[in-house]
Formats: sequence, C-alpha cells, structure tokens
Amino acid sequence: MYYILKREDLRPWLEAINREYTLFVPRTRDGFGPYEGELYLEGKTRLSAKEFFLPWREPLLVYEARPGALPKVVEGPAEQRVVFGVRPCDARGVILIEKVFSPDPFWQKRREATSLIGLVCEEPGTECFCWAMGVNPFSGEGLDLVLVPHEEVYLVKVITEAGKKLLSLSRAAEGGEEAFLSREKEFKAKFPVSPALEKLREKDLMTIYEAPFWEELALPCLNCGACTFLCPTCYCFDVQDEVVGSEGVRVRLPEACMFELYSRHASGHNPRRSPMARFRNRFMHKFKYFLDEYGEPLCVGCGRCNEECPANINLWDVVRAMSEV
Amino acid sequence: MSTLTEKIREAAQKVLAEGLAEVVLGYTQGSLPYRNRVTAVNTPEETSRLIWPSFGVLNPANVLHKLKGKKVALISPGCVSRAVVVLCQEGQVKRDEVYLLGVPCPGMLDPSKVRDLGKKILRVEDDFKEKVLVVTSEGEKIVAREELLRQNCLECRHPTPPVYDELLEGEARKPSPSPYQKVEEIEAREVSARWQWFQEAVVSRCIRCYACRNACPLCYCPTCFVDDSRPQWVGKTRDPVDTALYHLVRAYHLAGRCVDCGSCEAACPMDIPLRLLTKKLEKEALSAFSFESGLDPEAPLLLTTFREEDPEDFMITQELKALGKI
Amino acid sequence: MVAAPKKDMIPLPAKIEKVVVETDDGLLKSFYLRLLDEEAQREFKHTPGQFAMLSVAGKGECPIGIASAPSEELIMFTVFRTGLVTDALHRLPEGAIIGLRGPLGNGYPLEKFRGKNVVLIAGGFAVTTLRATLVYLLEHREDYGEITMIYGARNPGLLLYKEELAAWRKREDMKLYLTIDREAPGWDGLVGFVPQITEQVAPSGENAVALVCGPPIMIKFTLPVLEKCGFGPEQVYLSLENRMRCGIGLCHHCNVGPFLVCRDGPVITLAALKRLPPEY
Repeated sequence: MYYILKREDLRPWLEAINREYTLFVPRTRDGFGPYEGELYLEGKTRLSAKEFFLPWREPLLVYEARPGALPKVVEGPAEQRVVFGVRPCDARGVILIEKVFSPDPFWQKRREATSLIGLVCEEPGTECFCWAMGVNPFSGEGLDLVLVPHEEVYLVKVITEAGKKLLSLSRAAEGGEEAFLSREKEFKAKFPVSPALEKLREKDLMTIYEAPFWEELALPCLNCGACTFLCPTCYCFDVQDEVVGSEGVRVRLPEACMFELYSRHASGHNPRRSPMARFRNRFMHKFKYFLDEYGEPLCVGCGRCNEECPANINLWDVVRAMSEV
Repeated sequence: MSTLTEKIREAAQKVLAEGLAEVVLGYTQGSLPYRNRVTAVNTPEETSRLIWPSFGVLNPANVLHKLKGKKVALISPGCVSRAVVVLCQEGQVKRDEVYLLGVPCPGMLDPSKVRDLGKKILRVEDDFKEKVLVVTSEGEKIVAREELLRQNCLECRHPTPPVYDELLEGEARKPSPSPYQKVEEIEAREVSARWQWFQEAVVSRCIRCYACRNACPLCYCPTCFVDDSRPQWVGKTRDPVDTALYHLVRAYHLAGRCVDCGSCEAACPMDIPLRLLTKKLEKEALSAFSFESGLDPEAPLLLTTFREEDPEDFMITQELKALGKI
Repeated sequence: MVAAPKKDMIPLPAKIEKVVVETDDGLLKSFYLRLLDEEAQREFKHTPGQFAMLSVAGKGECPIGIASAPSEELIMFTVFRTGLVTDALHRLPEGAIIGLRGPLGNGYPLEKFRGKNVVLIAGGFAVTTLRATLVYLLEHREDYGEITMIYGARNPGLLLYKEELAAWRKREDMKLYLTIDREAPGWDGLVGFVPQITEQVAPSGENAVALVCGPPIMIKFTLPVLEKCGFGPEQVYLSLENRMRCGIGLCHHCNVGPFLVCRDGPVITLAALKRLPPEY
C-alpha cells in the first residue's frame, strides 16, 4: 500500500502520534530524543537507532546489597514507543542483531514495544554504502512504514499493520506507487552490489586471519570504542554490578571489542593482547565469522565508522584487503 | 603539491637512507578530502606516501608505543615535538631513540569546519598560507585559512618546534597572542553556569569510547584508572557522575603535561570541546608557575618540582580561613 | 537428557550448603550449592564438562566449571580465588545466598565415549570438570572400557579432592596416576610434570579418547605425547575458557574466531581447535 504525505503535513502527523504514544525523533545531528519540536532530517544521526533496543544502560536485576538478599528481575519498558526518522540502514541493523538476540527477553520486550517509521535519505551521504552491503533502503525491512522524500511530498510505503495504524493519524492520501517504485529503481541502478562479499564468502577463514596486511592497517588505529559505539550492528555488551548505598543494580551496557579489557582473563592472560589482534577481531567478526554463520555481513553500510573514526581507518581498505588476500 | 610535502619526502628519504632512523612517522592522504591518516614509512621508496597534511589532527607521537625497539623519526610540528619532549622527561622515550624532523607549522585545518561547507566535499586545496579552495557538490568556495584553522592551532604558542634534530625550511604561523580567550569566556561565567556548560557540552554527550584518552600521546598508563576493577574507581555506563569523574581525572592527569596538540578533541566522535579542560590547566600552570610543558627534555617536570616562591593559594590554610577566602 | 539452559541472564538464588577448603594455600575452595527453588533444583540436570555463571550481588558474575556429577545431590564448584567475583565468593560463609545460571555450554559427549577407553589428564585446579566426568564414568562403569586418570599438581598440598583420590587409588576398575612437580617430604607417589608422566604411562590411542584439562603450558607439552600414543586429533578433547559476560552466546566476549566458548564449547576436540585462530 502506497500513500502520499505532503511535507507540510509531517509536523501535524508527528504531533498526533505524540499524543497517543511516546514519540522519539532525531533531534540533532547527535541522535534521537523524545519529540519536543526539534527535528533533524538533514542526514543520519551520529548515534544510531540501535540504542532503542540495546540501550546505553539496561538494568537486569535490582537487589538489596546485603548478604542473602534475593534479586528482583527488572521489568523492561512496557509503554509503546514510536521512533520516527529511522534510516533504513539502522533498521536493517536491528534485523541483523536480532539474528543473535532473538531469544533475549529484554530485546524481545523492546522490539514488541517499539514501532519504527523509516526515512530514506534524500541522497546518499559521502561515506554511505548500504547498497554494497545488500541493503535496499526502499524495502522497508525492519520498519513499520517507510518514507521517501520526493519533491514536495513524502512517498510512503506501508509495511505492517502497526504502520498502517500510525499513518491513519496523518492526512496522507493513497497513491504514489509509481513514483516510489521508480525512485527505488533509480537508486538500484546507481549502486551495484560490491563483489567483495562474494569473494569473502569463498575465502578460507584462516587465510584471511593470518594475512600480513593486518599489522599495517591496524597501525593508526587507536583501539577506542568510537566505531563500535556508533555502529548500528555492533552488539557486544558488558555486564556491571553497580552498588550505591544499599541498592544494587546489575546492568548491561555496550562494550567495545577494541578495548584491552574486553578479552582479558581474571588471571591477566589476554588472548587478544595486541592492539592489532583486537582490530582484526572486529573486522573478522563482521566480514567473516558473522558472514559464514548467518550468510550476511554484520554491516549495513551506514558509513559512520568511516566518517567518525579518529584515525581515519576506512572500512573498505580492510574489506578489500580481506577479500583479495 | 606543496613544497613542504616535497621537503618532507626528501628529508625522510635521507633519514632512512643514512640510517638516522628505521621508521618515519608522519601523515598520508586519508579516505576523505578532509581527513589525513598517520602512517609509518620503512623504506626510502615508500616516502612518496608522506605528505604535509592540512588535516594532521592526530599526534603521531601516540603511535610510538607500537614501534618500541625501533629508532623512529617523527615529522614534527611544534606540538609533536613537545609531546615527545614530555615523553622523554617522563622516561617513556629516550631522546636518542627518536629523530625529530622539525617543521615550522602553518597550522592545521579543522575537518568539521571544512565538512560543514557543503553537502559533499569533493576536494580541498590548501596553500598553507592564506587561502583554502573547497570544492563541494554545490560549487567552489575560497575561504580564508584563518577561518578554517583548528582552535588549538589558533591558540598555539609554539608553532615552530622548540626541540628538533633537523628543522625544515618553512614559514610557521605566528604564536598566538591570545591563547586563552575561549577559556576566559567560560571562566567569566557564574559557577553554576560553568557547571551547566560542563554537563551539557561534555558530560551528557560523552559516549565513553575513550577516543580522547587513546588519542593522547601522553596517556600511557598500562592500566587506566577507568579500567581498574579492584577497586573500581569509576562506573562504566554513561551515568553523569561517572562520566564527569572520567573527564575531570583525565584532564587533571594532564596538568603540567598537556602540549595542546588537540588530538583528544579531534578524536572525539561527538565533537566535545575537550581541549577547554586541559587548556584551563595549561593556563593555570603558566600563570601560577610560569611553566609551559614540552620545551626542554632536560628540564624537570612541573609536578615534581617545588620552589620556595611557588604560590600556595590553593592550599587550605588557617590564614585563608581567617581571611574568609574559603 | 540435558534440560535446555535458560536463555536469559537472570540467575537463580542458590544457598551455599557447605564450603570445603581444598588446598593448603587456601586459594581453592569447593562450594556445595542448592537452588532455593525446589523444582529448579530437581530439574537441574547437567553433563560433565558444562559450566555455570556464579554471581555475587554487587560484584558480578563469572563462569565456573561444574565439578559435581549429575547424580550428586548438591551442585558443586571448586573455585580458584583470582578475580573480583571469586574473591568475594571466597569470603562468603556457609548459608549465604549466591546466584547461579546454568548449566551452560556443551559438556563432554559421554554417550559417544561408550565402549571406549577413557583417559583423563588433568593439571592443577583444572581437574574440576574431570572429577565430574570421572564420577559419572565410575557410576556407569560397565558402559566404558579402561579408565585412566593422570593428575598432577605442583605439590601434594595443591591436590584437590584428597579423600576421593585415596578412594579412587584403591579401586581395581580404574588406574589413577598422581604426580607432583618436585619431590616433597612425605610424598611417595610419582614425581614429574604431567606430560612426562603421560609419556611413561603411555595410554594407547586405540579405541580411546583423552580428555585434557590444565594450564596452557601443560596442554602444549601433553598434546605431542598423546599424538605419539596414537591419539588422533578427533580423539582428544579439551576445554576452553575465555572471559565471558553472558554465557549464552550474546555478548561475544569469549569468541575464539567464529567459535563461542559459551555456546559452541567449552569442550572442543583438538581437531576442531586446530581450525580456529589461537585466541584462547
């Protein structure tokens, strides 16, 4: 089902959604927040929509910090949330993480409570390459609705029943299928799928692992967490017990495989002690381990890592080296 | 090609050919028109990779620890030279293990200032003197260099390296006459407004990726205090108290040491104005002790030196209490 | 046979029924646990070789191999005091409540070993899950061929489960070789490192499997000995450990290349291990 929404009808629609649900929108280039009028639609946000499902702090248990106290399980958020302005790459990230997280009750709860309204980019950003990772931003994968900015309107494709219900709060009128499909076709024609993934599928794991290029490519890497924290598909987490006074909370929080602490044993032994080993592990996970196990790379081509890496590590330098070794 | 790039390649070739160093650390072209990358060059042939960058925002001295055991030459504008000097003073690097190829620095451009000039940046041409030509998807712009310079370069007091083994010919920027203007703007605010600035500009936006710490050439503790688990000094989430503690302690660890290379701020993926914290400490060191870091490898460190005439107005004394100052 | 492990991160409360200090240096203690929920305790079924996450509120969780056999009433863990959580655990008295998540991981494929000779080779405190295995094998004695255990520690005071060792030593239906690294007063058993003793014992690889648990250096020198004895890489089973956060295949900390120790291990054949990056 296709609809047309005039650009001037966007705000009233968001207001209407906000009256019935808790609405989150991209507020600034930094990222998403509750809708209070601020709206950033010029491009993707620095922080992805991943945080709605793998939040920066997920309490799992609370307990009284005294011996013998029994922990209480924390109930995840139950209120229905709507997130507007999710880039299709971010939504695809949710689908990829779900391949691992689907059995997790905290993940499930957040997924059930959240509707996503997608927004296709006016044009791809400097560092975008969703197409090369097999992402079709027009498909609506992982979304309830997908909006395509087109001249003075948004072309809207309804993906789910929940999406249809949300759209009914707007003044959108049926139509626009032709324009939507032709935009999709134009987009596809512009971007061929990269041959690197096919090559990576066929390559022997240990051949890539043992290749000599890692040392050189990893040299400028700071082993910070910028790429992993900004990445819409990185899902590793840490678990911490936080005690304040007599209150204890066990929380789950994002963790970066780039950190030395990530793999260090209690004994001090670290199987990935060298900065290069950690650098290699991140790319091997995304473009070999995950690819072999799930048939797809753990990357959606949003380009945040390329854009924001302090050391200017470029993902394609690594992927190319991996696929051509 | 800028003549400085030619001079660097030539000098690097000579250094490698004559065995003055085994590796040359410098910059190469990055993956975007407004990015450069730190690189290590091992042979005279590879020196064609080296450039004098417009966007050399990370301090290559930060990579020295990965090249332990090798004699390393560094392409050294003022802040790189000064970082190495501090590392020598602190016993992390031996002066004769590094070869400083000094460059009188015209200042580097700020990638985010250039990025914001258009939707897509296609090309950047820098004359390293007055003007920068930026070609964007919407057209060409010629911008005064001064407008695009990094803030730390605008505030730099030592564009010419104070210590070097060899100084390339070139024209450095003039030392900044007002390095503390931005710090003073914050200082002028009420205490509560300063706290609010710290919370809004720094704490609430930090994602705890530690890019600032890892980019710093002077952050080299084998185990950082935030990584200690026994005891665990700092919580690991984005809780404001923990994040504030991280930033305050990080800045204080650089008191009397920071050379204001700006790597921390450049590394931050959230564009947090981290330098203001360290710049404030730099200002204190200068005003209280007439001290500037990284000027002399033989000089004692600020925090390991005591002089009778050192001001002690920060100490809680009976006298100050009596005066009602604390 | 094995109940599906709970796929979430919520520990069940368990009471420490008994604490036994196992070694002279006091760094190893055995904790005998009972789940507070009677049904959960009844349903707790594991395979030797599996592990559980033990948690101390306020300190965190860590993975520990299950040292008790499935038939034993209490769930037992022998814990080396080395990190934040194990340190806190060591300070807890009998009667204290801790958290338990498990059983997790795969365990030894004991069904597959039926009819075969089984050689258990242990060094130091890594003997724990092999104790569970041995107890199981002895309970199902008629299902297996010869049972041999080689177990070494630095000195006699560091051997675990001393009373059981004495009982196993007397048994006719198994062979137990105990060894210590260096001569010690009062010790009349074998002296030498585990690899050397294994070489002397020279178990045959024919219709046999070897289960090897110990410090990396012991494993490194034991593997060539086993190869000489005719054990193919498919016949040698090892147990990996890596830093872990979730234990259920989510957090990715414990990966050895594509292999997640918590999900695909901890038990792995030498043949499979050889195909992985050396990240353990």
